[in-house]
Amino acid sequence: MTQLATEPRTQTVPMGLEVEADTLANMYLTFDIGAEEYGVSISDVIEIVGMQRIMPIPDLPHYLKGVINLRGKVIPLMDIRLRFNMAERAYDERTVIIVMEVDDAPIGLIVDGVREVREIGDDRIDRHAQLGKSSSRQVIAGLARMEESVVVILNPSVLVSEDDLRLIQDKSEG
Amino acid sequence: MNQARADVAAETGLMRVPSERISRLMDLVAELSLSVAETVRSPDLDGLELSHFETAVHRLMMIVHEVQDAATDMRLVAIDDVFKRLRRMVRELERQTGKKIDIQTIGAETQIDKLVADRLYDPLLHVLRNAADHGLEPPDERLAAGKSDTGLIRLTAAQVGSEVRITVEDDGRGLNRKRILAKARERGFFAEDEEPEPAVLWKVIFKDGFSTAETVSNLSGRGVGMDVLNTTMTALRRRILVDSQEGNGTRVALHIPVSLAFLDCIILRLAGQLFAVPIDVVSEILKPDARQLAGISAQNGAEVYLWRNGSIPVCRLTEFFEGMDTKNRTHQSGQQVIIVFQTANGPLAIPVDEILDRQQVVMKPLTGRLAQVRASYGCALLGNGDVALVLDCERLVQREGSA
Repeated sequence: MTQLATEPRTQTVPMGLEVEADTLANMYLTFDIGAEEYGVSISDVIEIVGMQRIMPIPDLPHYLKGVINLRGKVIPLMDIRLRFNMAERAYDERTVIIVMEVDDAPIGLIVDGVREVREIGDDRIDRHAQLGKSSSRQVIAGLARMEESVVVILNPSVLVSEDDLRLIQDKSEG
Repeated sequence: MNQARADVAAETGLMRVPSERISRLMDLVAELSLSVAETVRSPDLDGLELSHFETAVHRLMMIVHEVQDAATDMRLVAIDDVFKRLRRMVRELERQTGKKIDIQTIGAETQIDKLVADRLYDPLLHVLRNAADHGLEPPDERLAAGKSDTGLIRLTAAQVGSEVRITVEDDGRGLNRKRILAKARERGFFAEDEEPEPAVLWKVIFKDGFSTAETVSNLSGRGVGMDVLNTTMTALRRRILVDSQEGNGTRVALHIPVSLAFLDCIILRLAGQLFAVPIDVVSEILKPDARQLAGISAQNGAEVYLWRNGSIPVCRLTEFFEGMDTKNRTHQSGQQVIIVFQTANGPLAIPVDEILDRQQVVMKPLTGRLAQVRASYGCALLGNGDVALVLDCERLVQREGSA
């Protein structure tokens, strides 16, 4: 793992501060992928549903598993494990779909299981974590250092658009 | 109640209704038809003898269809409004180009979905501008070519099945094959020694940034217009056909569905996936025997279906589309059914595992990542909640050359 910026945080949010206006902005839904904990901003999340029958659609990359019909809405599903080149894992009763709205289109993320909704202050998130590549649009928006763990905050727009993958490909070709 | 919103014009019997109310009704009707279908096809009913129920179901289905049609009709308007705006634009074009232009409209009473009509003006205007600017010659040139000094542009609309066909024809100089081909080669669309068919070549004028006009006028020639046309037309689930003869003018035809909401489809299954095709492009459904399918190695193994006295090109969806699981076969290929489509480039045979049903489906556009799926109009929601990919057979044929 790349080393994180570990300046001691001297500024802490005083207790009892008015946070109502931007509560949503600091709320993250976190979920499990293997042993790691990932998070997405709750403002992009529409709902969480259990695994449903997936109908395959051709012409999509292997990590887009197909679509579901969610009360009349057609939602494409992205298997996060496959998206990150991790080993495929059979879906079980903990597997859920996080339905999000990204760039005006619905997308469902298949994850190993949801954990919780946590409030993560901006001061806890290292948004400049350098993970290998430099100037590219990164799928990781930042790393949140919690007391007991690290939460990887994802950038849904890059996750869905695969901008980061394209860059890797360009580099290997160039 | 609520008389402020729906103001009734007593003399004409017309009512102004906000379009979002109609859209809401359309959505509800779509949901209604889906849930009726779900109810009457419930697996709980399997094996039961329910004669009264069957009669009632039959009646219910008929009513649902009629409600669907009535709701669709509410959004239909005459295409005349669009034509009128274009007519006014022609006067403007005459002033700007110094050409004499006569405009004729035929079939202005043709009905089309208001949502479609609202988006038709811009693409049609671009076609019209191109005709006026590049197609029609100046009066002196026309006289020299033995034509009348006034150029003619004819706008035609007609309903054919569930499609409205709009054509813009001019009697100008026609598309210049040499110039367009040179430009297309320069842009790398064709190899230097390639001589594409006219229908294939003309399609390049719809490509982004393509313009052969030597001088960029304020009317057209910047190469952006046709791209606008392309984008809008894809959203409207359409087809564009171009036909041109040197010296005799150009004809651009737009084929657009009357309504975007419902579509009468045949449902197919292939390699475990569901597809839907609009009923009006299906010409035959056949059970082939093995001798009727021939592979031609000289053509990269292209297959043809021998039928009657001719042959029909075969398109295997499992090869056309990426990532179809060919192992997931419920049927041996010997038991496949061939479905023949009528396309602008002639018939096309597609082998499928099974033909399941004919039904009226609710269309959903391909948004987000689904937009990258080729040769499809959108997703179809079936009565049982399944999702099928609606095939655009025109784009199945075009895979070579115009990809």
